[in-house]
Amino acid sequence: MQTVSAAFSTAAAAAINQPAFGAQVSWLKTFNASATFFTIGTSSIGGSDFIKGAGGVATLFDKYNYIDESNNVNSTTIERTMSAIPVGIMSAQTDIELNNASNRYLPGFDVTIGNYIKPGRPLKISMGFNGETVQQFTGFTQRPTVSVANRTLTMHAYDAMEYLNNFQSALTMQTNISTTALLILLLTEAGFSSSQWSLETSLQLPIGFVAPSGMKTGDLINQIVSAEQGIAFFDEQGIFHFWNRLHFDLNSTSVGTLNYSNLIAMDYVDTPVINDVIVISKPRSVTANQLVWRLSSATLVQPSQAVTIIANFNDDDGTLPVSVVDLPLYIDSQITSFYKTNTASDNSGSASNGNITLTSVSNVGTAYFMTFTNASTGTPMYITDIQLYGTPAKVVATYQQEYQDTASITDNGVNPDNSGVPLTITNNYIQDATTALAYATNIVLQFGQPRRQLNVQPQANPAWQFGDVFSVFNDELATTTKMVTFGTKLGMSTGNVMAQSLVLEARVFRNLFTIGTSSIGGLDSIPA
Amino acid sequence: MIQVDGSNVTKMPTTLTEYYEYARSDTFTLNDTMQRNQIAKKRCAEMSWNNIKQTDIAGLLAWAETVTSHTYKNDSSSKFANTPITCLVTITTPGAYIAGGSYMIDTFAVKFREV
Repeated sequence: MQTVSAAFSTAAAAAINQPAFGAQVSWLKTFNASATFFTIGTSSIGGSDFIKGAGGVATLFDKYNYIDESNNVNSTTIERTMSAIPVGIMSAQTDIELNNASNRYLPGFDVTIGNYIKPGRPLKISMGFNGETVQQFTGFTQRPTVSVANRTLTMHAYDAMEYLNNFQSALTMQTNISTTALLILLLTEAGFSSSQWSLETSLQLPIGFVAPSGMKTGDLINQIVSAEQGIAFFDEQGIFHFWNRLHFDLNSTSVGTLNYSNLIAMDYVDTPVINDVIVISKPRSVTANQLVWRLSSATLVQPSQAVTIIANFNDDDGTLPVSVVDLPLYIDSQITSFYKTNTASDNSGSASNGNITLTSVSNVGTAYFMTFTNASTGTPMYITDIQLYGTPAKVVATYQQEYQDTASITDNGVNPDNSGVPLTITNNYIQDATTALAYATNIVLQFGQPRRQLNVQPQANPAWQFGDVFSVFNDELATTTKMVTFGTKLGMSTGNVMAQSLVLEARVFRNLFTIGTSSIGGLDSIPA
Repeated sequence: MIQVDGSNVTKMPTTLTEYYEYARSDTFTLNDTMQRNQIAKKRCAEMSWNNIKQTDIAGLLAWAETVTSHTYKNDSSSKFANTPITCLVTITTPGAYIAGGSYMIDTFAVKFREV
């Protein structure tokens, strides 16, 4: 739940309230890296510093200069949902419709923003009561649609996760790095600073080897977070969160009670039954120096010309990353990288190795670039052999762990929602058999029996967030169930001033063993 | 006295209703608790005249059909007293003027809605 004033909470529960909302767009996308919270005596009115809101830190998105479009909002909907098994990354999206009666948003019409009705504009949406609004969305817009007939501008927008999904990492290879440390490196590379993320501890062994270069940052984050069975997402303020697999066990305090007096609608749905899970991992680790590549055929270098030879590393497990490649030298050796030259492709001429120089090399993890230059002005030269030695990150083990719930299989059959076959999850960032087994066990523990899922429409409160825990009281059954919010949707339009729907899921909460508090032989469990 | 665009209306309307239009939604919970979310309200006035001379109708149509706003004030009303309210107007008379023919109506009705 977002931090709000007591007056806000009172208004949310009041019989009559006045919703408020705001929408800001940075059409010109002007960015001021030094923008910060407004300080009296230092900041100038009309300058780029901004008034501090509910958020505690200035985020990447705060540094854009925004134009307030609140008075033109016809409708907006903000949605956050996760897949059936809540692990990996979650991104928020929004649809917004602006009133274009004045032609303000007609491309080319307005002198200030007319040339900037374009995709990729930073967008902020807030909602609240009686003039106090809390941030609901920060992200980038997709391609806008301007309807001349309807006099509207409609836009779809994704939050900063979309920015990471399209950000290509150029980070060097990392060895023995924890998920948290790797997330920090990836986020820093993408332009975030330490106050803009909140990361829980990694619960598995450090990742033996990872080569982020060339990968999309969002995709890599999804994989490493999934390996932890964690969740990564950007909150309403644009702060990145990583929750480990114990998050809900340690944060199970209910933020409020939902019952028949504050629910407009409540639909019972069952979660899919998953009672047989196989988790497979083939983690890589850097191994001893060895031969990693050999030139397949002689390569000609014309006089006064340069040739770049690309060594692509492969082994039986596919593309092979190599952390360090020894620099090839002109020597005949079996212990380090070398190259051989000759005036003839079959080595029948003279070596004339003085003509050939290795002018540059570059290791991009799974490939090694070598540029050879022929200094001779008249003699074509052949590179007849190259052997590269290095330290490859080979697949060091294959972990395959299966976990079944036999009682559930007897009751429901094997995975009725997965066509009756075991659910197979492959993630090579899982580092050990214990984590793989914990992964399989935890999914079966949560989904072995159909668990109550509720789609509810409460009387709206924009302070509620993804991941909030509610006590849901059924007046007819007189039972209370603790449930986690795994989906939120908040909308406003002139016809439906504030509408909210939540997807709530019952979950097995465990009391974790705490030294000094729990007793041996007691009910508290040691986390898997 | 009713004033439109700063001038007194010389022919008093036959009917006059003033009301609010709301941007709001009411929700009812499972045990019938009601909550009203209300963003805004707009003042509205509807009035009509009977037995208008056809020459006057032409003038009224020309006045009402512009896209510019008009001000409305009614000092006898609780909603529109003292300060002129800027409104957009919509002709609400059923039936219409037939192009090229004579004006076929002798009534005129209009709705003022606060901007």
